[in-house]
Amino acid sequence: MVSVEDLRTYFDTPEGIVRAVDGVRFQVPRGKVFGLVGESGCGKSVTALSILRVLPPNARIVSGQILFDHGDLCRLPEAALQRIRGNRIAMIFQEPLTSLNPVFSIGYQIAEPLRIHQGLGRREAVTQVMDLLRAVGIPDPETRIREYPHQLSGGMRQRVMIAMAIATRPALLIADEPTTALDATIQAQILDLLAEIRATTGSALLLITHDLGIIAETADAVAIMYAGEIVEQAATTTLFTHPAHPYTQGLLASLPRHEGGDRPRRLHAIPGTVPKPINLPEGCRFAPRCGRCIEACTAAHPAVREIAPGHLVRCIRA
Amino acid sequence: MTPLLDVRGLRKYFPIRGGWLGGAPRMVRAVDGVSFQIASGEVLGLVGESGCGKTTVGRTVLRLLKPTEGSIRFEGEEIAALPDRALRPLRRKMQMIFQDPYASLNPRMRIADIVGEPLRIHRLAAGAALEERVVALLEQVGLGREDLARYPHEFSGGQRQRVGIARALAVSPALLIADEPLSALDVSIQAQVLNLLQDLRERHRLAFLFISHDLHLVRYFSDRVAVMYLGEIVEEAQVEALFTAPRHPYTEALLSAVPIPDPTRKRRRILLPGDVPNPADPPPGCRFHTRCPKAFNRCRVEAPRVTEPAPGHRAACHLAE
Repeated sequence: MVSVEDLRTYFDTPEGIVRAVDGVRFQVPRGKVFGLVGESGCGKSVTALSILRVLPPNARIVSGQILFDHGDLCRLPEAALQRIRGNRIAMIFQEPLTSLNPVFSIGYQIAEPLRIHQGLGRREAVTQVMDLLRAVGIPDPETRIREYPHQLSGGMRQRVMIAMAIATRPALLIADEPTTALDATIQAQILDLLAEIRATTGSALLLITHDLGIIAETADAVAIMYAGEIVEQAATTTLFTHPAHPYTQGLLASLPRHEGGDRPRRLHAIPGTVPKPINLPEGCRFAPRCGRCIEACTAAHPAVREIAPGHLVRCIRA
Repeated sequence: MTPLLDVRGLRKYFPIRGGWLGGAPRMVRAVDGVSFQIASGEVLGLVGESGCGKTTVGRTVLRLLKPTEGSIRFEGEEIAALPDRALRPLRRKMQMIFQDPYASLNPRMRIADIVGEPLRIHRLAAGAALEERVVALLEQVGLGREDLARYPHEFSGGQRQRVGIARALAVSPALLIADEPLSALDVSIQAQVLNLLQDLRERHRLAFLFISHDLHLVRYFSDRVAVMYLGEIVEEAQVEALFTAPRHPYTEALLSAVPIPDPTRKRRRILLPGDVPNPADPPPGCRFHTRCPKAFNRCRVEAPRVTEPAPGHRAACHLAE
């Protein structure tokens, strides 16, 4: 469906070049959910923005391919890309209040991609918007269609964003922390809605999140990012039951768990902090925080190895 | 034994303007009749979704806000109506850790001054003794003498939160009110800071009001947990009792909504319909009845009393009676 090959996206900053995404490779198959996980600054959001080429002015895609619909999105002319954005590929952002336009009604905004990409007239668009509002579970769509973003709750606004994103039945949905701004019970509603949409439309979903719980419950396969690179990639169950990279192991161990009654007095914590993106370590980027680091780890940058079919790890110790 | 903190019937209403041209002021009932106790050295987790009033409870207990009604006793002394001037000695015993370590540290102050300020204000140390005390505090939170002259922007988020914790500890409080102290931090850093809080709690026999929306963290850190919905505590119990045998349908739904990082365990989510109602206009009867999967006629007209279905386990639900 979409295949990202050796993607590198760098930022020019006054301090130097930031290698935000540095050789990322993954595929999202049709109808599947692919999770991209990592902590702030690991490059997961920049990966998503690179796919749609909606990067800030100081960022550039240095190399790589993003294969989609028999073309390479990295090399497509802007006009051709515009026919894909919000049509074949749509994006759902974390904060619907800042990504919806406050001066246009809900109905107008959901209708926009339909009118642009499918050339629908006003009347047909309104009918479809009503159907979409119903599909994403917004009660009383006849009233809501005329309302503005500020009149809706956070959960309702996220539903509007989703309605907008699925309006043109995109082949690929990219959701960047789609529920992070929402409360637990509303998050559950939205995750449920995303699952339902995928089941009915068959679109693929690239789900970007820092929440391993959400990944465990929704993703078919998952990649863990650290300092601009994917350090481990596997089917979700494999990754959670047989994590191979020390960073993945550390992340999973640092989650509070409650099985078997007695809680441990201390949580496992990964020492130190993420390296500054300006000044990445020469060898393995996780080496300074890694408990299993040996000399060879700092000497050369580790390559990706396939330790079991479909289970990729960037670690010489795994 | 007198509890360290004893809150009874606490209410905090905020006026909101009626309409475009003023009109009669309406009230948001942010906290509407909340009672709980915290013993010395105990951690009470306070959970609930945004707008449920948990932050307002924390701020009112600390008397950053003046309660509309109710009693707050700290070490047996009534503080709900104390004038601001009389609060200073109290502030030595109750301190706050904020959510956002970026916004709660003055960017123009050095770490030495940020952590030393409470000591100066309360005249607990001066001169060389002050500096030594600040260094000792920094070392307790995993920082050190070399950080004294640095400014907040030179630190990472986790380190800033450590500075905020050192500042709160400066006056040797008995109770810390921690409002989402970990939610601005990345997972790997959360564990570091939570371990630090755990150490400090044991070393100083600190009591906590631990306010959080993250149920995994609350379960890990708390002794008892209170669940808030629309300004009220709907359930309160020992941590394991609450998580394994919840009595209130809201608690049940909230627990079932939290994703578990284990793909081999499939659970059934209880999906609550709709949104939390407007706290300026809460529904009649039980406030949860508009979303409750178990609501029946009585819930729509009669607010449930708080009952104690098991010792130490309280719930406000007609079905728990």
